[in-house]
Amino acid sequence: MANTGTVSPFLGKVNISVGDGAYNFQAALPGISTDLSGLKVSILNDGRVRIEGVVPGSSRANADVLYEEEAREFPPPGPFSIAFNLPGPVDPRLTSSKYEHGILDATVMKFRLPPDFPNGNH
Amino acid sequence: MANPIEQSFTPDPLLSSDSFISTDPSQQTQPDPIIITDSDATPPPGFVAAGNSSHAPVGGSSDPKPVPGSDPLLGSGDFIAVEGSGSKGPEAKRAKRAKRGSEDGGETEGWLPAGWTITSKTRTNGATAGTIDRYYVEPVTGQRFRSKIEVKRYLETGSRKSNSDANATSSKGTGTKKKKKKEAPWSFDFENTPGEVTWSLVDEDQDLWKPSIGEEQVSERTAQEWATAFERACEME
Repeated sequence: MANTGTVSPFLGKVNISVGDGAYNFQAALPGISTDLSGLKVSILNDGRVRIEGVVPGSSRANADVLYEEEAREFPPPGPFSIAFNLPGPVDPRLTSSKYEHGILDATVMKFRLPPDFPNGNH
Repeated sequence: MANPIEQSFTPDPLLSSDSFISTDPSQQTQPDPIIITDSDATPPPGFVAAGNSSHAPVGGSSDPKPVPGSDPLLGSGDFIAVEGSGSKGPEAKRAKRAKRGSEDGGETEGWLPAGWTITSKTRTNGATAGTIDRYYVEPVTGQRFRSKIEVKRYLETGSRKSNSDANATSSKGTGTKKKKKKEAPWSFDFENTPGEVTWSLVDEDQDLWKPSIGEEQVSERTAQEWATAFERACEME
């Protein structure tokens, strides 16, 4: 687990919203590369969410010149994992996600049985 | 079905060359001989009077007597009747139809949607020459169905069935070949959620995600069922 939260002020920040039938979250994942290793979002039916991905190394790394790290506010290159909880139980199958501009935006339906579905009102 | 004719009808009418029905002229508009009409509890007038009452009246295809109002099939080999108008007529294929059990001619033509046509073709070679096959043709696509059950199944599920139940002995209303996918999303099991689903971003540009449970990727069909259920659930909001 490359990210401990204290290292990066950005990676792992999450917005969580509650709707009538679903939860919505946005996770900040700046600087993530999805090309090689992709991005994985694991959702458990008790509402826990885990996001795994890879922080790429600098694409401008210059083999000729050696740099020493002076300040690190970004997570170092390599795999990362962030975790958080949604407010209640969910159905992990009913998820819609979009990763764009470094933000993962996802909607997950709350767990409920068909009779509980609202008929116009909650 | 209290049709007395049917009880006494054992031999294949097609094989007895001299049995035919003296069809009442008023029957001219109902030329299709295959349709077993249980609604014809009363045989058409003149039916029994044909003299061969032990045989179901047949425009014996092997002996095309020019009986007035007789089945035009005999001459040409096929014809088209619109919207079930051909459901009455001599019970030519009673025995064979009974075996198949797939045709319920007892109801009126109200079950066949408007625009559908009924086509009949007489087989011209082989051991079954003389057999008349009847097809229900859908107007838009031209799909042909061989029995009412097939048509009904098609109307209900939108899927095409040919010959799937043609020889089933208990095919009446028992077609069970619906694909799960075509059923209402409420067949989705809301109650039993998997413990964990992992969604992997496969293509960032297309926003393509693929779900897995454990190490196994979920099948495309299942993933599609989930997507449909998700949309339906959203609509319920």
